[in-house]
Amino acid sequence: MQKRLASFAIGLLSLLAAAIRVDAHAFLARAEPQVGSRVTKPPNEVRIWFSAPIETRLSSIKVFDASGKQVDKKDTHLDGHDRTLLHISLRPSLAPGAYKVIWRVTSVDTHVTNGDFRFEVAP
Amino acid sequence: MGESFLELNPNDEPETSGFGNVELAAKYQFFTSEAHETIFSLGAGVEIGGTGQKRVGAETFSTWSAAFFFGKGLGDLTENLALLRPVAVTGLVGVAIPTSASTQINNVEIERHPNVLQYGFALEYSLIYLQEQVKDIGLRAPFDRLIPLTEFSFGTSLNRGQSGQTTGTINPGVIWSGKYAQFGVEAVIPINERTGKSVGVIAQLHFYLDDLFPRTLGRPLFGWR
Repeated sequence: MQKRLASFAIGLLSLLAAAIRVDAHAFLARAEPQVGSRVTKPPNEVRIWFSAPIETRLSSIKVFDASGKQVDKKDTHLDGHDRTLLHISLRPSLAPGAYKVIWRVTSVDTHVTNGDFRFEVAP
Repeated sequence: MGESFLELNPNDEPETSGFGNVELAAKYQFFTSEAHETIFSLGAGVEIGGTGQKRVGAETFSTWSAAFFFGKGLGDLTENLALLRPVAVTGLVGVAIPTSASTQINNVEIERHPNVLQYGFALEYSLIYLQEQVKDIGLRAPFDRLIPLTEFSFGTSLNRGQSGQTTGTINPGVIWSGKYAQFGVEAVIPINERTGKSVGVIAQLHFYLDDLFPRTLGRPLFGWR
């Protein structure tokens, strides 16, 4: 019985492994503005560094204000020198408030990952 | 498909090691809600008796199992509870049915093998999720890839003279999840004397073969360019 319980415990750990496995391809390494941060100056763009090189044609970043209105310029593009860095430009002079960034990327190994985070503009 | 190598060091007995029985399992995820970070799955499996080594306790009979699995992340909590969004609970409820009711030697029954209700859950707080989706608190490698967790695993016998007898463990630990591999280590604390008297340790190392070999093993079956 003890051996079977150990096996069951290992099974549960494996279940967790499978659940956690979801983000093990191109995951967000860091962002500007930082995840969950409060900035005093409205940013001109959002930059996200990923853990793996990105396939830009199949990747996007979108930024929304608190009312759900899209405030980016729909110009997601890869950095010229760093294939793990995606940029998107923002409309000028964002109003104070909370903003939600939604990203969906395809890494060069074809795996798709996605996520979202918020930042706040508070002059 | 699973296989385990066991190294046993029991009290007052010589140390021994060997492979356990081969295990086969399949799982179907029948409900997914990305918005509410919820998944439900059904699974079935078999531990094939006689494929492992007796000296480490591998049974000579097979055991079939079926289970319901669930997973729920709290990422849909409101902004004022944002720091709880990295919490997730996963778990299962299932039954294990041995193909042999008892083990006998010279027609003397020495051990009974009841059907067992298996249930358990795990609570985790993902620092990965915290860093990526809630708030960058400045953690850097390797701490930004840690997931502290506690598992609760139980089994209750259902028949063959052992009805209602429960064993189980509580397993606090931590998982480190990187791009190519994942390492987990947990203490195994028995909940009662029937389960055991000593604290043990489980450690696991998983390799992500599809990331290690993206153009061979990790290649999609369809849609590959």
